[in-house]
Amino acid sequence: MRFPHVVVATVFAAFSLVSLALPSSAMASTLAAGAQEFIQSIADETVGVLQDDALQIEDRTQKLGSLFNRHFAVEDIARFVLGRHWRSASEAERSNYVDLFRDFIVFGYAQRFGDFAGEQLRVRGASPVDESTAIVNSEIVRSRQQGNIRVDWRVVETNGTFQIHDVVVEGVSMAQTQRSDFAATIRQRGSVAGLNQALQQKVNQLREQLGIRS
Amino acid sequence: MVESMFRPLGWSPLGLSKSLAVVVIMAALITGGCATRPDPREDPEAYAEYVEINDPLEPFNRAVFEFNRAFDTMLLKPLAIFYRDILPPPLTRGINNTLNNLRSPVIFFNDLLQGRPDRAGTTLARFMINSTLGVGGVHDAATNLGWERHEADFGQTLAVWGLGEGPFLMLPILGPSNPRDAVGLGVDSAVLDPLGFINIAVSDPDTAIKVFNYARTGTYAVDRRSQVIDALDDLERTSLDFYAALRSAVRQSRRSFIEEGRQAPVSPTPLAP
Repeated sequence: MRFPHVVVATVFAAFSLVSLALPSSAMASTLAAGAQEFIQSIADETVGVLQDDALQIEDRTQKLGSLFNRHFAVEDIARFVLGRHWRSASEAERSNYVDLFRDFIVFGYAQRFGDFAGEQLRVRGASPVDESTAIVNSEIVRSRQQGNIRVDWRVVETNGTFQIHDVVVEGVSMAQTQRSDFAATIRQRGSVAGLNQALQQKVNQLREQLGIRS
Repeated sequence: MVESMFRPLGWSPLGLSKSLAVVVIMAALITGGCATRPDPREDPEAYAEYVEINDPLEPFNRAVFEFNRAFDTMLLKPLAIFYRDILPPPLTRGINNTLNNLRSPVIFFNDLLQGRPDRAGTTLARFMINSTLGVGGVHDAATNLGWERHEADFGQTLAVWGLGEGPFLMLPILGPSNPRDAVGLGVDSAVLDPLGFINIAVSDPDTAIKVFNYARTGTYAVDRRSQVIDALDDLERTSLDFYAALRSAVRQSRRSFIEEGRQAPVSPTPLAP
């Protein structure tokens, strides 16, 4: 028996409507759940790297660095942190800046990020912000006396892949703090080129502290 | 509830409120003719940034910051490291608990002034339990019984009442603040704190009270500093302009603390079946 096209179309339309309407909440909660799972998996992965006693400091930093590069949207963060100065920067300055920012973040934060995720990170839940962004709430579990540290992760999904866009520790956003820091540096040094110089110095210094040869 | 990592050092300046007033007036006098203000029509983005940074006293603040860092390097931080790493943990835990317990009246009054009887109740219960069962506050028995500690101060109360923070202000010794929170600090230490109030109100306070208050203020400073050693080291290590990064971090931290005070009172939750 053949269904008239109209019936097929109506049934199809009804289904699409259902799947479209079901959704915003269901889709949003899928996003939040995915984001939460994503953060949990990173925490597990990091603990694995940190507990591998066979690793030398250079290998460990390198592993944490690659973990970082994979899971953090470094370019988007770099752009946000530069703010309005991104537009006034030349193409060469931009690419130089993004490269330096990547090193800066890896050498400056990989260690701390390791400390974070290596301690007991308890992922508590997640809530969607818009159709592609979710905030994952977690805390670093410490003794009762010390109290836990609240850590929120801003996670964005693009084509099924999750990436971290910001880490907010006790209400202090890493990206926002860097944005203020860099704006002040640009104001003092007069240009993005001046900021790049300062970043280069910082990267060298951090490398030295970690005992890594360039 | 954890002490916020970047909370300004803001210990109770018992007996310091006069010098505090001098500083605020000094700052007000210098307000004119600092950091140039961009023209909103010519460069709206630069102007927006200027408004957001809200630090017209920046040159003055940076000078105070340098002074504070010297003070910190020479005195406060070494003491904080000694306190954290050398003294036996049971001792510092006892000191920390005692200081927290002594702060209870300030927290209690601010809870009430913020219209939070639920939080005030918790603070009162904690104070009663810890002062008795906790042997004068040395032991935090209340936390173990499920009464968790929270902070509150008069700067936060003023914010809950709707007062803005005003421009950034770096206070000598006391650290990053703003006019609202500086006033709050004065009210907390001279009015809402019974021991501080006695110190100010009585024309010739007992020497014992004076000595006790100085000792308490000093210990409080070291205790608070010891809690942010790693956080501040980290921020310095990972910033290009430590002052600017700290200014931003402290503001964000403070805003999040104020949000905590703004939340609607929690109705007592029935016990789980």
